[in-house]
Amino acid sequence: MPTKLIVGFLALPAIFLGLLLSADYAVVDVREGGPGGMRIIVPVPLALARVALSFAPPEARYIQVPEIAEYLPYAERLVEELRGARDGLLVSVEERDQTVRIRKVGDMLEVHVVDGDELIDVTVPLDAVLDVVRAYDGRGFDTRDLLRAVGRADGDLVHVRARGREEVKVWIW
Amino acid sequence: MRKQAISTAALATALLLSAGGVSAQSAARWLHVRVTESGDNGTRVAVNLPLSLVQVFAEIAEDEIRKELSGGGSHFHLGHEIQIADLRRAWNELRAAGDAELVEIEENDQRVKISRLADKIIIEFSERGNDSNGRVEVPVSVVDALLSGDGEELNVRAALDQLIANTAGEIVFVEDQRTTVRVWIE
Repeated sequence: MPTKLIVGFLALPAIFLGLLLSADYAVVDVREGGPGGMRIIVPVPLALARVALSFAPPEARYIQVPEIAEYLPYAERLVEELRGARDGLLVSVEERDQTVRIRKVGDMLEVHVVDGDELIDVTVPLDAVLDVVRAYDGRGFDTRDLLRAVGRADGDLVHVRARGREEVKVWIW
Repeated sequence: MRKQAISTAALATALLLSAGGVSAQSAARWLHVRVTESGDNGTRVAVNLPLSLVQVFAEIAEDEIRKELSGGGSHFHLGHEIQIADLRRAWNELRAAGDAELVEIEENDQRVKISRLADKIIIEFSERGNDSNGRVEVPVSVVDALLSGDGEELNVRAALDQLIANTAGEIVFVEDQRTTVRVWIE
């Protein structure tokens, strides 16, 4: 009997650890500018974040956007058509010290923004967009579904850097 | 005038986007839009979209246009300021005449000239006040389709179908002193 209890007692954290190891992580990497700048790396298990969201206030659990409901039937087709299209530059806007480029690369949309000395790169998996579209219930999104969609990414998600200043990178691991 | 040029291009693009069906052959073709402001600090915009994607945008835009304008289906009423039936009769006469200057309107310092050259209708406009001018080229087949409706209706959808499905090359070119707008399909 004590052996069973011990096994049971150990099994729970083992299962928990296994879940943690097999889960997707969003890794937030913040690096301060300058030679002595601090670096903070925070791995966030997405599965745990989803569980934690269940205990968050209602306004954090649900984003209301009823005004986009009428476009929902089109959204999925847009993503599908985009997925089937050949790779290339879709949109480019260049001004004096600002640039925005959106490029399709495989099943990803790459957004590159230059604003003065700040650079922002965002990679959006089209599968994740599809997940978000399908998660829309006619009134809004459950943020836990959005987190699940984020888990679709593999690699860099967001990278913000500015010359001599703080650098922030979020990637999925 | 710069705003006018940009709005003209935006309208042309919106019209393009509001087209309904696109033939299967359009799947491999792309719509390209370029807006270029002169000068080192001028804004440059490039949009490249597969026509299959444009088709979906077209349906969204068509819904929006339908909300803005009265009428339904694929036809839009333009009210009674312009008699479309008269325009259609005039067009039938004019299109048989071949290359010609069709309309020229001068008002204050603005001038608009519409002429036909081969298979294109060329609309030129200028404004002396700010020394600007522009030019839009529309294939004759698109005007035919536009006026293929009945009574006081313009068949916008047919015109845009024609424009997207069977037109290759440049479809809109507007320029003034500062801004150049090009829309083409290839």
